[in-house]
Amino acid sequence: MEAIEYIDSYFQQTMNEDERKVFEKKCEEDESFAQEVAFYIMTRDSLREELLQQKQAAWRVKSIIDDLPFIPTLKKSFANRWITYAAAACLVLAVSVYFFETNPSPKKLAENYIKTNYSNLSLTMDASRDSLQLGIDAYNNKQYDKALRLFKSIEKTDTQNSDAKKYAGLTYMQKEEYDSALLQFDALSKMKGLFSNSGDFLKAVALMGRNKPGDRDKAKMLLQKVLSQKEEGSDKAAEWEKKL
Amino acid sequence: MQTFFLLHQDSDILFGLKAGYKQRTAYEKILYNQYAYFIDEGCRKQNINYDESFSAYSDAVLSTIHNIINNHFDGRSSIKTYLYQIFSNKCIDLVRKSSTNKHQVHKTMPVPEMMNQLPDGAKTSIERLMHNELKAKIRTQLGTIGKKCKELLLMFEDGLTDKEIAQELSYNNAAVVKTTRLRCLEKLREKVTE
Repeated sequence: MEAIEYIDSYFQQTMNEDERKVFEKKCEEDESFAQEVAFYIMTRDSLREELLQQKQAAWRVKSIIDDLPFIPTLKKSFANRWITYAAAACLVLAVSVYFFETNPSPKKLAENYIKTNYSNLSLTMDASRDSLQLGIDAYNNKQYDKALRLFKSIEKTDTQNSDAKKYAGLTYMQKEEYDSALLQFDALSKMKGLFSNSGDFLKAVALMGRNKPGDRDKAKMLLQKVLSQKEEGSDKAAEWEKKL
Repeated sequence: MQTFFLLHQDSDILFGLKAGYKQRTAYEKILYNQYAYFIDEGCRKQNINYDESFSAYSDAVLSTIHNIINNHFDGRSSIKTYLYQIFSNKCIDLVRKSSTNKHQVHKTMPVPEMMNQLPDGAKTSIERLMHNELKAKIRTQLGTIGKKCKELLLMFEDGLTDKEIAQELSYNNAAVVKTTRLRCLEKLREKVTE
């Protein structure tokens, strides 16, 4: 079994560069070892063929299309082919709606969250925060560039203004500029002394919205942190953390 | 914010394929159905019959799925373009295989994709030891190693990690799965060499 484990580790790419070179040289110089490698590869190839047959059977499962008058055949007419494609598209739509709505992606979760909770920001009653109110007003009117200018100018003059950071981040989210949103929410999360800080949770939302490779895992870790430290957004974090 | 489109976007398919095994199975079928029209295109453009085109397409879908799961798909192209490229190459391989008749004459077998991990020298040494009779024996003996062994090996071949297999098949942990998997391979080897 040692030989198989050794060969398995090569093809699983768990060896370092030197170990790989030793393995490859052994394949060329040791006939009996080369036979073991040949067996391993042919076995994996046979398994793949078997797997493919299973997948083909599953993917080819009889569907509602087969019961329609225009059943796809090898010699179907041009018109029938397009009618079949239309019926297939309807089936794909039905399946898509079912799976999409019951199993939303992280990006969809993030988009829906922003749409539901931050389509509009609440206007403040504090007259001394005029720029902030103007920024909120512009945000609510979907004038995101104007809103961003106002929030960023507040940030420059008042670095401890958590609302300016948060709203700037949310504005970037509306513009789908996720990298910039992440910077804002990261700065927010590092602020001390706030009554409640939604920075970590909103960072997770931005990562889910950006959805680049690795973002899902990072978002999950942040949601776990929000949960464990009972930060703002814990309720939603508890719900999403299971889905990621 | 983006609106929902008629067909699944790449991001949704990527997310679904990397999710748990049950969800992945559903998204495999969604991916297969979304671009199944390639099969007809293969018939027209590559001049192969429907069964051959279907075989090439399903093989390409499986390769695409595995590359996505193993993070070999970098997202620089769309899934559609990526899948079509693999599908085209497999169609071309089919056309070459049937036109040259090389494999029947020399009794050699098509080169498995895994061989591409080896450098040329090692590849040549291994390739000359691979032949159709041995492969046929392996295929036959796969049916005799027991249902659990076969299920485990097939899941591994389907790209699940030892840890994921442990969760799906209720093994204690990934180490147990790995040991069991290697024992199954050893068992198969003994049966083939009997």
